[in-house]
Amino acid sequence: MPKYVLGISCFYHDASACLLRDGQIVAAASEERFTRKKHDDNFPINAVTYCLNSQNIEISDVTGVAFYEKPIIKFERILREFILNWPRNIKQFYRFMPTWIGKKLFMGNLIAKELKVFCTKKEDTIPPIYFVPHHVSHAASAFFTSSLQNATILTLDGVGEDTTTAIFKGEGNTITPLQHITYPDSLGLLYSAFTYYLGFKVNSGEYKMMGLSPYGEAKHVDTVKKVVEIYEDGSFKLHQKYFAYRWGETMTSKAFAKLFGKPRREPEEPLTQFHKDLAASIQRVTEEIIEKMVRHSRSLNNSPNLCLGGGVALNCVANGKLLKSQIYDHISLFPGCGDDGGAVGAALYLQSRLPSNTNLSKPVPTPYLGPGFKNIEIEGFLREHHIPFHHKDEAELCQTLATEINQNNAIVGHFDGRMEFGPRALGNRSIIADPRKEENWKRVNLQIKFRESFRPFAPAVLEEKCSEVFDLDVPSPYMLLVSQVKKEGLPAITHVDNSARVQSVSQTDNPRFHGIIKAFDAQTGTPVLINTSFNVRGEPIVCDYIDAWKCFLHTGIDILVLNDFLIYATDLDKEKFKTHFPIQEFEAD
Amino acid sequence: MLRIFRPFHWFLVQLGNVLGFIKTYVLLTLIFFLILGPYRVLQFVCNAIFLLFKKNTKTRWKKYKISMDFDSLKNQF
Repeated sequence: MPKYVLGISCFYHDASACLLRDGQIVAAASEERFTRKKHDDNFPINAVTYCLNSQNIEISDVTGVAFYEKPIIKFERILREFILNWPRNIKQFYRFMPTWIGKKLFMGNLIAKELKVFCTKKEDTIPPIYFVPHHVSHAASAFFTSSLQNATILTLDGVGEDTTTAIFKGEGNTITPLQHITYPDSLGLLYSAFTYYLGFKVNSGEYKMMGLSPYGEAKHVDTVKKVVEIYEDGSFKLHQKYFAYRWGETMTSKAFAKLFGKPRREPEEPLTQFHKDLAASIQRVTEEIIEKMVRHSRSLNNSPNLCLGGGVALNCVANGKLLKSQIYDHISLFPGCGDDGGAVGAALYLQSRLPSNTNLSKPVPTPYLGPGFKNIEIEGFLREHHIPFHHKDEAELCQTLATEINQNNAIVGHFDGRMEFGPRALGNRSIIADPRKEENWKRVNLQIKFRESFRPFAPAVLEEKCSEVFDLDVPSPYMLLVSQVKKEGLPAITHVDNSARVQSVSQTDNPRFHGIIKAFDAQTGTPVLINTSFNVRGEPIVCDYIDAWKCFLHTGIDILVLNDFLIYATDLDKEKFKTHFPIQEFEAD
Repeated sequence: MLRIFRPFHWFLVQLGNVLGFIKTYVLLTLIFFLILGPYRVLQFVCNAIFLLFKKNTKTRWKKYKISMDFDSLKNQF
């Protein structure tokens, strides 16, 4: 009888669920993909339903449920902050206290109540609920999915219970905590404060600020260092007079705006050179802190391997530089570094601690853990709605797509197999296009994704040819490393500083996506395609084929691929279908 | 006597709700000012004394003491 462990993260941002079967991750998905609400923080009822249905099991078949943090330790910190910042935080006190006292303090009961809907039979029982510390969840997701036997684990995020940064030692089946930095000194919150000041959404727009940074010069590093004091061992102190997140509704205080000499940029206001320079400056400072921290972590644990976790590990520019610095021989990253990955980490940690399960092998790392759909189901949908389509086998489909992209500059919405876990689309829910055409940068940004024109596109490259095109000699399967572009003539994926956020695609990880790029390479001599997430601005990445179909109808995508079916925009009247398949309004992120 | 109030029943219920709401927030305010206030003053004094004797160490790293065994996972703290 297989043993199942369910992991859950929710009630802050990016709720998700994950299911383990005998120690292997068999399903994981974020709630936002099902509810179509970006960064949905509600209990992941849909994600849990998907996880259980994927294995045809009941909730009572699950050995244990792991929640990704310790609520009472978090409450202790919140209470402490109310005391320390009294009376400025009275508004926050009234906002948070009723929810905490009435709901979140009884997290065990709350989760059990939510899981009750899965008890269909009288004899069904809720499995025991366990609570894994937040940074241990991040550390477990980074280390246990890494295939490494020993490593130093560095986790960096906004804040967990009280910890904001932590160093662990990972060995075999155990994780040992070594050192940590506590709230309010947080690298994640520092980065978010600048994100806020530059007019982007906190917990969402950080990657935009990272994408903006190459347009600027790091002119304001000295001023940024007035806000954060950096020590030689990578620890740091945030001067709290510049921040308001401890007591107010905003991230930065008036002193912050005064220091930089300008008020906060309002969302959608034009970006000036000052904003670009500031983005470059905070990016530089962040990289400096991370590099010092990593050096410090190496002095604590003499392992040649490093695992990075927590939301800050999504900073692929810093990751790329870290790789270049060669402080560690090997750096491992998990695709769901943020709080969505907390569900995976919590489940894996509980699994490793369960008395009877300690000798299980490590899970095989793969990001393709979400829902997938059968051809028969998709064909039924297409026939029911009289949608003209072409059915092709794998090899023929790869050739056709490569030809369309190469000869007709087609933009393809590619929906195939199981959905990716984590914030990146890695081929199965992707929009792909020709990277050699400069106009595709603007075309995809403005006509397909309806997003800011400055934002760059990531390349997907054949893993075996990665080092020919990019200055990168290790695989980057999760698009979490930035490197310099070596090959000329790829303007649509080359950022202004000649960098690119690389995804290397291997035959074993994703044979279909690999096949398309390979066919494109055979025709053009370019083993690269643009790969951007299959969604529009503010929308979560498409989850099922209906989401993909709607996105295709309401954007300028030329060809839609649904598993083995091809639908050409030229074969149908999009306007006619739009009325039957309206798209919901998404709040711009 | 009760019959006199019958036409006003709805208003009385609403008044009760408003008073209940006010009571909750008055209580929260009392907790905030009466308990947390003095605690904050005490804390401020303690902090000031602590800062006088604190060494200016150039690090923010602290030893991470946290229970990692199976039984500790059963607790919310």
